[in-house]
Amino acid sequence: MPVGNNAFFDAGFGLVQLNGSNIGNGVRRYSFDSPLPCSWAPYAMCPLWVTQLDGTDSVSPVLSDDQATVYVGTDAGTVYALDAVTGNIQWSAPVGSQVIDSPALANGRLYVPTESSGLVVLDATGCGSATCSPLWAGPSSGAVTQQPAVAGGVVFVGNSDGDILAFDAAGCAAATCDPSWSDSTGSPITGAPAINNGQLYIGTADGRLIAYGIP
Amino acid sequence: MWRIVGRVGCGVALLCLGGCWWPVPGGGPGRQANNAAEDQITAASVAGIEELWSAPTDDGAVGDPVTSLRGVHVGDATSVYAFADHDGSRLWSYAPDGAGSTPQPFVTGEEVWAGGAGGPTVALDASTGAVVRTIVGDQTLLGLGESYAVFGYRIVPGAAMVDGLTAPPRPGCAAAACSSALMKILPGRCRWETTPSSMLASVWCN
Repeated sequence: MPVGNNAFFDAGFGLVQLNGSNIGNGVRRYSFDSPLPCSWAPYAMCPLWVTQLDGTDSVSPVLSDDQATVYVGTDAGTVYALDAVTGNIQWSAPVGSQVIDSPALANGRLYVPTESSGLVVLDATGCGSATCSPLWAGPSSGAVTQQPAVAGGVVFVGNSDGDILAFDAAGCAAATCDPSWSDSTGSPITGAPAINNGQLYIGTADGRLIAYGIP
Repeated sequence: MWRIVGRVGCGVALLCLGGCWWPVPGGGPGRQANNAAEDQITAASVAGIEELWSAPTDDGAVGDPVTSLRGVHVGDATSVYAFADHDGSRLWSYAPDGAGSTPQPFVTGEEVWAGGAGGPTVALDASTGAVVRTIVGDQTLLGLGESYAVFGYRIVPGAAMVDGLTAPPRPGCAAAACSSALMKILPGRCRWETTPSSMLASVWCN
């Protein structure tokens, strides 16, 4: 079943199952190729697949560069890699606490924001088995509340204590790495780090947009 | 006929012509949050970065910043803002009707899109904040990237659509709060919206 080439896969799910509450936690992929061919044509949309995950909630998915793999984390503290064509689980990794937002994906690494495990880093290609372990972690005094951001070999995270932390994206050859830079904003980070043209932007709970850069 | 133009990489370019990055939460349609073009903030320079400016908004917590060629855009509880990237001066603000949660903006070319809970979604001129278009609908519209990763774009006569992938609605939340939407991201006339909580889909033309 090709994906993205107008091919539909009617998984046989009825409207009841697709109504959310009966599915539980999972990831769905939709195709918007055609308004007509699937069994519920009046809704002009067909699910290509639905995959059950653990927990009760999951973060927004992340796609690999080649669009072959989908990454998603759950409130049960698991990160999944799924085949984007079939929805099959390729591997999963427990990260020790709730995944709060989408992982960042850069240079073959997943940077996972967690409730109490700080920044957890996984090999995006897996580990050759069904269950994988983190490569390293970056400690954070508070929950890493937003999706990390990666640029220039640095990964930035914001936390619920109002800290913005930078880690070497390559790690430090140890299981736990200290930040290479940090700053305290004095207010929980509510706007995920964004990096553009030499500046880092974050939003805070007390109503500020803050820009960082090389002075 | 359908024409596939979308790959995530070129999708970013389509979203933000001219070289800017981070037009949507997560940086781009795939939500990877990776700016591969950044060459100023690096592992070698990061120790020297400092706060350059801080700009206040008017109403509470600030959501995810996004960027356009005109500046930096964020939303708070009631408004969407544009700030100059060099000094943080406020360029404009806009309060969508019905805003009750952070109206997360996203950028397509020269337009900043914003929508309030239960209100219309508007396309704003990124330079001035003037309303370019208003999308009328009675369902909540959330920005591209808010809850979706996007596989690609497809252009059909008069419209562009996206292939999307989403996490399901949060259990127990009200339908209005759970609704998500996809909308066209390129110039055209029609748009497609869907709300996963109800699985209703609509096409609006303007």
